[in-house]
Amino acid sequence: MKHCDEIQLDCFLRGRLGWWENIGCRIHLLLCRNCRNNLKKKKDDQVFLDEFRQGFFVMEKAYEAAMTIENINERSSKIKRKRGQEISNA
Amino acid sequence: MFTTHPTLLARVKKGDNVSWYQFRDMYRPLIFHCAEQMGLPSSCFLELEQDVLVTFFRACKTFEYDPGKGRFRTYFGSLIRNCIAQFRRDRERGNRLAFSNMDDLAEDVFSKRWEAEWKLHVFWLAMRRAREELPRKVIEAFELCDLKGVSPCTLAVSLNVSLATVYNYRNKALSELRKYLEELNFSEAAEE
Repeated sequence: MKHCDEIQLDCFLRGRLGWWENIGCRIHLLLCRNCRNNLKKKKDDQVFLDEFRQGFFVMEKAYEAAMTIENINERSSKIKRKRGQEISNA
Repeated sequence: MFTTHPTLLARVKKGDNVSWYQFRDMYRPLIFHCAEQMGLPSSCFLELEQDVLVTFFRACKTFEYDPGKGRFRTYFGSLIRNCIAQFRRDRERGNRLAFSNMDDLAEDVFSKRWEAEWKLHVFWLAMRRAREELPRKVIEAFELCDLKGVSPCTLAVSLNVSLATVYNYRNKALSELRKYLEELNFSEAAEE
């Protein structure tokens, strides 16, 4: 009996296997507890990754937005300081 | 180098400038996102961030980790909540901004939201650490395949490595991330 490898299980979960390979995998999974456990682990990883991805992007976006605000603020205060100096020099 | 949370807090307490910068950088997205969720315009963010950091700086001078008193996350959450409430009151008093109500700052409502925000923040911190500590190819494979949805086959071709190598990189990144998450949660629990 040929066990499902990681790549095959990943493709199975993502629906990327061809028809024959997919049905072969499904039948094998019915018979093999080891591969079923591996598939379950893959599914758990995917659930974790979905949550991780969402959380990471929310905070990454917030970080970038905060940095942009700071950069704009610094640029405008530099301009203000420069203008202030020009006025006082004049 | 990534600094663990208790170490960073100890340095912040001593007034170390680099640690202050690190601390601000670490908590910046959390403060920003929290403020945004509470309806504060992004133009007010820098002011609020300063309020939070100054309040924390004042408090941390006398702050001692006391296991009986609770977690850092709860303490920091209350601090942000109070700063946002004060910020809103000041703006409303000056008629500069009007907020519909303060219900979202009620302790129970806020703490539920805060727990969720904290979780997202810990994910971000773990990823930041992974970017600093993991080999470039490992983190690149993880980011492209697992965060940006590039297919492993496409990546294998573009990196000129086997498909199995791409899977190894992703597995390595995933297991390290889980380890970082555990450590981040543990380092906070250690303060409890």
